[in-house]
Amino acid sequence: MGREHPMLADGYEPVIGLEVHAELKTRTKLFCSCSTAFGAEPNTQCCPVCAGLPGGLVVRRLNRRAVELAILAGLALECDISAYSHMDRKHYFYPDLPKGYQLSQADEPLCRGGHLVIGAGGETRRVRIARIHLEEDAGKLTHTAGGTRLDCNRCGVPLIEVVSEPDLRSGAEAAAYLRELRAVLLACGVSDCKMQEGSLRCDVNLSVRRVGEETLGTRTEIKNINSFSFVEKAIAFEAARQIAELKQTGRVRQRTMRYNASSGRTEVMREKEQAADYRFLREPDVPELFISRETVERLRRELPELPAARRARLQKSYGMSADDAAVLTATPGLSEFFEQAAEMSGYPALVLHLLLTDLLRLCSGEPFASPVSPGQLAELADLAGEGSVNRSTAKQLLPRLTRSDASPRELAARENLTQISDRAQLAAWVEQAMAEQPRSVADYRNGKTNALRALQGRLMALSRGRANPVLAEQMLRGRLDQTNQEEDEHV
Amino acid sequence: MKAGLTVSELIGMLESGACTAEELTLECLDRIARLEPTVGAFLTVDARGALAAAAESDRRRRAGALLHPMDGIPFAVKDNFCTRGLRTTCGSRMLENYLPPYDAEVVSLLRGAGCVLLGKLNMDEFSMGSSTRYSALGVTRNPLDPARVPGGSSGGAAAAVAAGEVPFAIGSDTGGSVRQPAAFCGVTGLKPTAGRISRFGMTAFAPSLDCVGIVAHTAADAELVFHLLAGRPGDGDGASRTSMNGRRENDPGTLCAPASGCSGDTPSIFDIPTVRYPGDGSASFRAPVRGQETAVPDDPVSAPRSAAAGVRGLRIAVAADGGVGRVAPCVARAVAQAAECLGQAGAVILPAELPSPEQALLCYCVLTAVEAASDLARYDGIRYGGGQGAEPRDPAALRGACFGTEVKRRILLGTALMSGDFRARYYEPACRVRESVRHMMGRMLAQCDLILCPTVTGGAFRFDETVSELQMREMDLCTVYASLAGVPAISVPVGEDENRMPLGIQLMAAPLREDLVFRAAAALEAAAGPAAAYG
Repeated sequence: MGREHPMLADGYEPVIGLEVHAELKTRTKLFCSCSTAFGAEPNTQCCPVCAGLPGGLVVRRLNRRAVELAILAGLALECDISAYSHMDRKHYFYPDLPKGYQLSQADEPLCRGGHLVIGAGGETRRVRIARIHLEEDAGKLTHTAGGTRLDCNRCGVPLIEVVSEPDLRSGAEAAAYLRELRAVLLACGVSDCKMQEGSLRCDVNLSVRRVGEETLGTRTEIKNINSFSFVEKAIAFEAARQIAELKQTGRVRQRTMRYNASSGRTEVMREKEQAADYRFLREPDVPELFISRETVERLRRELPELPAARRARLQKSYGMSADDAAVLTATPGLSEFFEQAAEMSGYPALVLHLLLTDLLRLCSGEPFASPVSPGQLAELADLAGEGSVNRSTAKQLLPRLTRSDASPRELAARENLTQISDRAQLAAWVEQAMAEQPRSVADYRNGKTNALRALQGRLMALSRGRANPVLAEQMLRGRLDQTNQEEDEHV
Repeated sequence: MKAGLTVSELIGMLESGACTAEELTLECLDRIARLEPTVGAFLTVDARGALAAAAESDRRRRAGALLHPMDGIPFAVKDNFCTRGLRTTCGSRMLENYLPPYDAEVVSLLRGAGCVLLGKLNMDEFSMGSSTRYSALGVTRNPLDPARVPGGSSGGAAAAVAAGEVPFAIGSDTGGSVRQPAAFCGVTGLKPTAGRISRFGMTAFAPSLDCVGIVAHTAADAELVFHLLAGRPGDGDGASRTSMNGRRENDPGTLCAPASGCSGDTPSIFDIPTVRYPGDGSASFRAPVRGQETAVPDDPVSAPRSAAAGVRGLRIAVAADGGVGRVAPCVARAVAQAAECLGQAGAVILPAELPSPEQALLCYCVLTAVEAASDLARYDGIRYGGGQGAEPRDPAALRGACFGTEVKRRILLGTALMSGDFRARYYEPACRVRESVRHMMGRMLAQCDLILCPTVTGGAFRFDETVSELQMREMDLCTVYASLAGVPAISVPVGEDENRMPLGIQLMAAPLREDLVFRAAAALEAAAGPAAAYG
């Protein structure tokens, strides 16, 4: 990850901090027992509490699991966990906010002062985390020709907001930070981080300054970007826009922006000359939180192996590349599946290859749900590894194993798919291929070694893919070279 | 003629078959029809619903399947308690046509016990006021003298009980809103320990102070209703059992109980004087917390009737003027009369002095304005208000049109008090004053069982009297300590003013010791004879 940005060659750099909202993986909402499940009919998962009806008090209820998940996120990001914390009302007017305030945390967040190490291509960067606080989500507005509709199903869904320090310097770094944060939150089971369902959303705070300057410039905030690549593009565009504004007018105006994905531009949402006054008020009806050391230690024991550690271990134990390790840890459940299969197989490299190039194509969604068992994948890798089937056959077998408990070995045998290494049979196919493609033979003879491939292909076709490709190539090459020698002798 | 009978007496009549629930309900409705043109306690009367519920109750009685001893007893609730499908206005144009989709917790508990809901009672708009004159939707008069106010904000509740329209009513008390109108109307008004009765479904005014309150003819009636509504300690607000679709809690749980973190700083603009109290107070005091050790019955239905237990040996500290300074002679006489009564009944009477409540009142005004501004933010001009088609469509204009002057005043005040450095100058000191008050009351109540003081500084005033904004706020002077400290308090009618309007005295006890206030209130009633009802 280079610190150079091609657009910023004239000596400016963007200074970026991210605010990431992640919906917590709880069954019920933060202050009531309504379901948090995504995709229900509008306004079927709400009650007087989350819909903010008159009398719908948030009384002495707080979703324990939500607090625990927020603490887990804090521990994973090496934050200090506050011994004392409480909820505050954050007042602002917006149609998706039925109470007229959001329950959030102002001066006593659950977690403070952590960091996340990001990196690619050998270079690593430590991005400081300012704080993580717990808050409730707002409703969802849908703008239609006939008016704006409000769905309260999302009101009161627990969120954490992870606020980074302004330590990022490019869109690529921001994207790397988001990928790593997502991997951490997924690994800990804190959030399912589905951007398309809005369970992970990102606000970008961005200012620009001349490289080497210490002070921060005036920042703009780009709200609610819902894909990593948009974050990257929005940052590139906004940084360039600010530099242009700075050069033209001598200053950057403080604004709230939004990113228009279809135009690829950032647009002004509202001018924001002064900091908003949210009139934070301690929520009287939610108890203060006293987090004991025992609770923190219990949750620390709940922490799984984190993605960075797991990547390092996978690279070391299986000799895989950093990129492969990153792919394995980006989807929850994937690396666990790999390790299970690899344990059962004598050919872990083949397991990895089949998993990443073939099996992943048959899967979709998160967490990783394989249509074949780890045992089946391991057996398939073994068949290929020991030469019982060739690799292309192994790849063909894979889809036929899905959603069945068939043994790959039995299936290959039953369908006569096992690899043929019988020399007599292979020699017969070599002869036939050469007879059918005299031109290729001639080309090869004239030094076009590429012609070997056509003959090889023909041979594999004749064997219906079952010929041991290594042995077949060896015999074919031997037979062609022999012909050459014979012809040489004739000359 | 059953009007003015106590709940206990009516239970007896229903049990003996002297009347049916339907007859009782009909008689209440009849009386409401006759008196309402004068009294105006109700904003909504649900005659059809009440008669249907009464008929159900009679069927249960015939089948021997009563839900509770109070099955069949009529009641009414202040119009800030949500009632499913029955309009709930909070005395405001903003909610003039609002039909809640759910019952408040207390309403569902009472209905679940078979009680018959007659209707909804008038109040100062969003409970902001002390005379019910700030209701946008109707005028309520004091049944004892229709030229006088009933007090407020639960003026409708006190007036309805005093007029014999209902045997008991549910109100809400944030700074005295049940106790003061009860005193003005000559009935009994209870403000329980903060959080003891669930506020779920009760529209908030200032949630850190709001309490469900009970208006009844006698302490025994109040106790009966209290035990039906009160959960175990810590249960009240925390164990709201209703949600819109009737589901119960699953994974949310309370991580820990609230505690009273407190700083000892005395802020500059609030100057709480040194507190004098009997004996040397060193006991610490905590806000009500789960599991506090007190005698609290597990089963509210078979709860002991502490009202009958007497006051022998109870230490009662008498603050003759409630800290207000000079009070009217009639008020001093009422307190002295009550103290004498209790002394004769065997209580140990101790002289005590409360500090001037002016700082506490200021603190109360700041806290309530700040919280009210926050709570009322939900009436944002998009979701509520209107329905007549005539209101402005612009949210800000709609808000302007639907909120009354007093409500707007407090929203503006509360908003200002939380903005910029006003927060540090007013709101934060007010929070510390509240803590000081809690400590002060805690120290006092560690030294005695009850504190006796006036409920009001005078009797109900006339509609045509000029009462300044400040005077209106001072109506809460005597009642604000119990609210800030979160302790239980009851107002009992004792004495009268120069206009022969009733006065009230107040009894306060330590958190969760409602039993003590019931005992003392009952002893006073026994000495004063049966409560007079408006005929």
